Amino acid sequence: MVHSYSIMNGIVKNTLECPREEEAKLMYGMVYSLKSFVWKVSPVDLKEGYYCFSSDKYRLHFYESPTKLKMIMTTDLTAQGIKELLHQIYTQKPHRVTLVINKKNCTGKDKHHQFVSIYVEYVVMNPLCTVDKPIESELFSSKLDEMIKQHPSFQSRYS
Amino acid sequence: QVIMTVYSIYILSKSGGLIYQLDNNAPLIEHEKTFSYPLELKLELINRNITVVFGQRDGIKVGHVLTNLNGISVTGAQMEDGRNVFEVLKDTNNYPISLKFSRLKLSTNEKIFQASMFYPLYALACQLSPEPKSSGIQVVEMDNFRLQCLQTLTGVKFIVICDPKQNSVDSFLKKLYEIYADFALKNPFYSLEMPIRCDLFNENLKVAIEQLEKSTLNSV
Repeated sequence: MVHSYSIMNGIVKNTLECPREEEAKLMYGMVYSLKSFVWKVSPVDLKEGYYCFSSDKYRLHFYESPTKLKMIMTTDLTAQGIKELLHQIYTQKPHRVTLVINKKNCTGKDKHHQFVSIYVEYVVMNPLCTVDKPIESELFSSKLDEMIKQHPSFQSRYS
Repeated sequence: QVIMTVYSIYILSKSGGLIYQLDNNAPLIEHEKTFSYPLELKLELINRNITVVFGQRDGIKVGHVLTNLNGISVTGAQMEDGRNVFEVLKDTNNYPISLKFSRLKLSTNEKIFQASMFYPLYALACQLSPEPKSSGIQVVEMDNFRLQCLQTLTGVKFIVICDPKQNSVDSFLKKLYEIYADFALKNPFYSLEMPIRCDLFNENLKVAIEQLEKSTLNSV
C-alpha cells in the first residue's frame, strides 16, 4: 500500500539491497515509531503533526494530517520552508495540487522532492483507482513529474 | 519569559540501554477544571492511567492523564481514599466535580523503554538515507522542542532535549562527552554499560547546564 516515486539522476543509491517495497515498509515503521517516541518524550504537547529529523547528510520531513495522512519528504540540508510547503500541499485546492493519501506513504528518494500531487484530480476522481491500492495512474505520475520539475529548489540544484 | 534551558538528557550505551537520565526544568503542563454532569470528556484506562481519549478542550488534550479529583490525588483508577474513579464519575451526586489533568509523565521504566526505541531508529535513519554513508539521527525538530543526539566513535549516544531556540547545543553535547569521559569512565568503580551513579559526574553536569543557561541568557 505504498506509492513510491523517485527520480534517478545518476546517483546510484545502494545502501539497501532490498527492493523498493521493503524500503518503504522500513521507512513507514521508522517514521511511525519516531512519531510515537517523540510524543512520549516531548515535554510539551505537540501541535501541528510535523517533525523533521536531520542526519549529517540529509533531512527527512514528516507531516501528518488530522486524518492520519502521512507525507514524507527527504531533502538535503539546505532546503528551506518545507514545513509550509507540506502544509500547503495538504491544504491546497484540488484544481492546483493536493496530496491526500490515506495511510500511505509517498516517498521520493531524491534531493529536492516536492510532493505536489494531483491526487484528488487524477486519483480520487478516477473510477479505476481505489483508495488503499498503489496509485497506477499514468496521468498522475506525469503531472507529478511536471510539478516536481517546476519547484524552485529542484531547479536551483539542476540548473 | 521563557528561560531557555535543557529539558532532559539521556545517555545511551553502545548496546542501546539507558545509562543516565536527567530531567531538568521540564515544563509542567497541568490543567484543572470543574465539570458538571454529564462529563464531556471521554476517559479510559490505558496502561494503568486514566487517559483522555476524546473531547479535548481548554488545554486538556487527548493523552492527558487524570491526576487529581476534587483535590484528592489519583493513582491508576483509584483515588487516595480508596474509591474507584469511574464509580465516582458515574454518580451524579458528586457533580460539579473538579478534575485535574496533566501530561503523561514517564516512569523510569517507560524512559528506559523509549530510550531503547531510539537506538534502532537511529540505525534505520542511517540505512534509509538517500545519500551514502550518512550518520543517523542528529537533530529532531518539532515546533516546540528539539532533540539533538551526538553519537561518539564508541557508539555511546548523548541525547539532549531542549527548547528549539537554544543555541550552542553542539558544544554542550561535546562538553557532556568530556564530562562522561572524565568522571564516569575514569572512575574505577564504574563499569562500562552500567547506569552512571557517580557524584562528580552529576555535579559537573549541573555546572555545565548552568553554564549553558548563562551563556544563552547573555546572548539573548
